[in-house]
Amino acid sequence: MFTLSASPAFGALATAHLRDVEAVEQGLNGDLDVRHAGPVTKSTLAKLARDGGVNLSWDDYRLGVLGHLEDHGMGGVAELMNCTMTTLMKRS
Amino acid sequence: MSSHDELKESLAEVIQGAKLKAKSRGTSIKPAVETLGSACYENGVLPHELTELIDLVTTSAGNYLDQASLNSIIRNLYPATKVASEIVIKVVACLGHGVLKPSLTIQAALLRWIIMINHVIEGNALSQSYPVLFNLLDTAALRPSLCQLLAMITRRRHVRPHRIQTLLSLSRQTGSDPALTGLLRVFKDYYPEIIVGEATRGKASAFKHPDPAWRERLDEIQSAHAQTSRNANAVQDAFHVARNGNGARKATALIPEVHTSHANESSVTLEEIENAEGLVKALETIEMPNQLISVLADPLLQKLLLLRPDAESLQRASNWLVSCAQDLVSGDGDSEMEGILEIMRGYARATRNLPPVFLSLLSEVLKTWNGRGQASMLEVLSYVPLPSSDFSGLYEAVFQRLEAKVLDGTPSSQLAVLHCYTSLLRNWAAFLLAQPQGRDSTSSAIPDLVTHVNKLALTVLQTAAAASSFPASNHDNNSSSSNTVATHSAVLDFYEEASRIASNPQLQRHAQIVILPPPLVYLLHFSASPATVSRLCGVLARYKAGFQTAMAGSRNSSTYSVAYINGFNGFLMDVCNCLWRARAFNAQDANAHGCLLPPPSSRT
Repeated sequence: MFTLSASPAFGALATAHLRDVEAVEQGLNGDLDVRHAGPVTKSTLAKLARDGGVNLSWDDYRLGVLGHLEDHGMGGVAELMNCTMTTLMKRS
Repeated sequence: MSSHDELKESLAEVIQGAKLKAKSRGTSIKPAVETLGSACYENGVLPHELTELIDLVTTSAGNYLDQASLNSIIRNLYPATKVASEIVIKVVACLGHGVLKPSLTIQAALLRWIIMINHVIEGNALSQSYPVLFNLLDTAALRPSLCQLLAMITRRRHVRPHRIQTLLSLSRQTGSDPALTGLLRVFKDYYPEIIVGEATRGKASAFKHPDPAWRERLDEIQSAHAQTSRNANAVQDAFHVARNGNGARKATALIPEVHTSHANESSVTLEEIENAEGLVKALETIEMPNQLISVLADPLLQKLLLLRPDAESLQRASNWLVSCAQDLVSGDGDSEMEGILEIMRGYARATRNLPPVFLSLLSEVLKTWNGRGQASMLEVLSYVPLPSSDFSGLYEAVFQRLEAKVLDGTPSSQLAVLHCYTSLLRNWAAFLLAQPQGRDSTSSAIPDLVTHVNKLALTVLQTAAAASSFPASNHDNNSSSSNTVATHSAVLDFYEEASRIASNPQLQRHAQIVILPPPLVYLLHFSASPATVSRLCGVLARYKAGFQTAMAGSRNSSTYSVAYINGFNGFLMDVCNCLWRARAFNAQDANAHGCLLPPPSSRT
């Protein structure tokens, strides 16, 4: 309910990011069979890949949202996540 | 048709018409001159057109325009920008007797014009043409305006023995012309001991501004133009002595202008300094002016006293202030108080410093202050220097009184005080950063301030939330929600400042980190604005970095207790649980607070 995809603050921005990804995908490989509907979760992403939508891993999606926020002048979230979440600390 | 095109068209028509004699013109030129005048009055004249117009009025050969038209053109010559020195040179060149020169009435009108635009002239063309202007003094028709102009531009270096001679004899010949006497008085200001006797005793003109309404219109046009061209370089030239004539506000009228009278030939006075280079060259030899209190309002004197601090001078300035404050406390000078605050604000802004005498004065004033000039007061107080011991003394002396006067339970008053504290904290941080490295002066003032503001910030958030939820009945949701965002961002402004101090290794040594009050973190975290949440995350990240360096620096971790750090880690855990791990309100993880929800409500 309060994740990046679903929280009232970030939901719209997260969806906008997903749409961007889908648009890029569409430009590269032609039409997508399905588009994602509703807030993204780990399982909906997996289902989306199976059904012929974009193939996006959960981690990549979340990182993408952070990047999207950063591009829109909201770098604070990424900053905090990068210095707290051990998985992210290893990546950088 | 835009008014600028109108101006251009009528200008071309007038220039064409001027080449023909009145009789041989097909139509009357009057309407064109009239449209030209009104177009100039509307929007002012741009440099290119100004050059053409000045050429038109300063040449008499082949110019058949009648006196009245020329006069009306000059009357409406409102320059929209700064006036280039070429224009001034052209005007100066057309003065005097000669076949090719315009008539003396036109010359006098042009001189009046120069007087009125004196403050917008670029460069020092006038000062350079001083000798030319001076030698025209024997022309009676020009004398009154000329004397006024010379009185405005005379500097010490212009006052020469032969000029004094000429002036004295001219004054004798003309039977003490009041204008000449006025100019002589200006000269006498520079060399009081040389010019003596009856010469200056007679009736002197006061040199009033020839046309204040014109001046007002000119200011309007100039500021409108500066705004449209986004040309914001209308800053006060900081290397000149400020003169009230030059667009000063009424507040500065309180403080005397810079005048130096005890000067001799070898000494340099502030009035002579024209630019930064001059100030540097003469720094050691500058004579102090009569009234040192002008330091409050005069940018040049401010610099001089900063670069050449002088205990005696500062003492003189503070004596003035103290006596002024006594007058205020005993009498009822409300408007004056506002003026003084305004000036103090200017001083604090320019020097980034508030002398102790101000502080004690403000502390006195705050007792009886009626709340007028609140913005100035708050800004002045944000420059209060960092106390060496702790915040409580300062708080009792100043801020407690301030809060008692300003806070009235409305969100706007709380926000105003919060803004003041934010700038105060920023100024303290800047002050500490400017200190030489390695000085360890641990003061508890900053942590005290943050602790104090913690309470205020929480209050602000709650009153703002209450204020925006109650009037929700009148469907004013839009404005109230933006209000909340504005409040949040004001609160975050403060904490961003505080977190910068916490994460800066140099500042950290001066101030212990004070963590945010927990309710505040969660109130902000559950805001509906992504910017608010993001900024909160940024603040938390910086605090975390600050704690990390602090812990790494001192292994014994005596500075912060484990419980304290864990309390902070709990925030991080909760925020991450919500945003990243999709486990909101989880209280099982180490340190997590479960967003402070009581256990039963999160279980359902």
